[in-house]
Amino acid sequence: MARVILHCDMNSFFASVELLSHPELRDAPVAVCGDPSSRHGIILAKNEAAKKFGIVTAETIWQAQKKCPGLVLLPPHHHLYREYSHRINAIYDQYTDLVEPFSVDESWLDITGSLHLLGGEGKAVADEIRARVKRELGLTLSVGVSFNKVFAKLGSDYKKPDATTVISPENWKDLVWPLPVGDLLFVGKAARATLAQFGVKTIGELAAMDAGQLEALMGKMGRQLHEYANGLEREPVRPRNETEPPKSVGSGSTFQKDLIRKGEVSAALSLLADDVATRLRQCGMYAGGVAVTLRTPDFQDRSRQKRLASPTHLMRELADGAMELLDTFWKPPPPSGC
Amino acid sequence: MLTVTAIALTDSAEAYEQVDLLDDSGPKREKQEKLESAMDRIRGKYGMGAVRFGALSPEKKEDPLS
Repeated sequence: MARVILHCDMNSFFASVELLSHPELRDAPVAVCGDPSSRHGIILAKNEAAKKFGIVTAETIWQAQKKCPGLVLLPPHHHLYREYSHRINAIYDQYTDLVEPFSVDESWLDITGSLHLLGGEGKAVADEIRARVKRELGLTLSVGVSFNKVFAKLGSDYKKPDATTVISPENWKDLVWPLPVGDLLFVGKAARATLAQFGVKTIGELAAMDAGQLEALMGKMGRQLHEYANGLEREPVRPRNETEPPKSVGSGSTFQKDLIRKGEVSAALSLLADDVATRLRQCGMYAGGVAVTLRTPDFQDRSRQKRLASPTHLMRELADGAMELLDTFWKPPPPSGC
Repeated sequence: MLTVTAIALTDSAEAYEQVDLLDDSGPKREKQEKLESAMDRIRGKYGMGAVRFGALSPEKKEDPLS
């Protein structure tokens, strides 16, 4: 059964919260910004009226005022944004225990398990959440409903403000593939430029690329983006109190003197492996592989990694694996005077 | 600077092991498990520095990857 995931994105969050205290400015172009007396102050958020003047987040106040001389500038109140964020998330919590905040004004909700209690229709749940937030807090949001997190996020961006967009297993190719590739999560300016060199401008064109070629071009991220574009993203929605398990556990030291004899290197590796193994046991993890990095006195890094015969959380096995690796590229320095 | 990193981490419950019929490292591993588990208990009670394998003393300890 396909998952039902919502991505809830508050519309012009900072500006909308400020306007709750200034209802008389509701139709005026308003921006929340840093210190206006400083030429370095930037636009932190803007309302819909300001967007119509082409004002964008992170531009300088000076640039924004050039576009819109009548722009009303308001100082930020971050404690208020945090308070509203808590109140909004408290509403989300009434629909599922799987709420993963992405930022102060965006959250994913996995309602797959509770959907049968909520009427069985993802779009209806999204519409109800929008109506409640509007009624109870006076704020609007856009919601994307889909079968994975990436498409749910695309959905919340698809139509703004105050709208629900469903990207389903049936319609996703029609909706997603024509979109600019930059709309996809984690495709930033650099990735866009790289992809443009290969004529990739839409998500559909990205999906049609060879995954291996993308990986060669952009590393692991290339393969990940290929999966995103083909609707294959499977990341779970993680409840906010659950931290992601570590991907690696490392320990490094600079020693009092250069390590010259093999015995010294072996002892040093044991010390580091002991630290790593202890921490692995503390978090209930096993290592399937080990990596060693050596920085030479002239600041050159040499690194090797290998898969272990079986996963371990023992110092001796990590140290042995590390020593085998180090043996492949470390040579004791020649005796002085040679 | 020397760094050791545990990679390809897996949950303990998911840890697999390729059984090698000729491998006789089982008892040795069990002994090492007991030893390191005892060290964990001592460190839990008396602190991290209470017990350690014989090794060099680090001048500067860094943890760049966690």
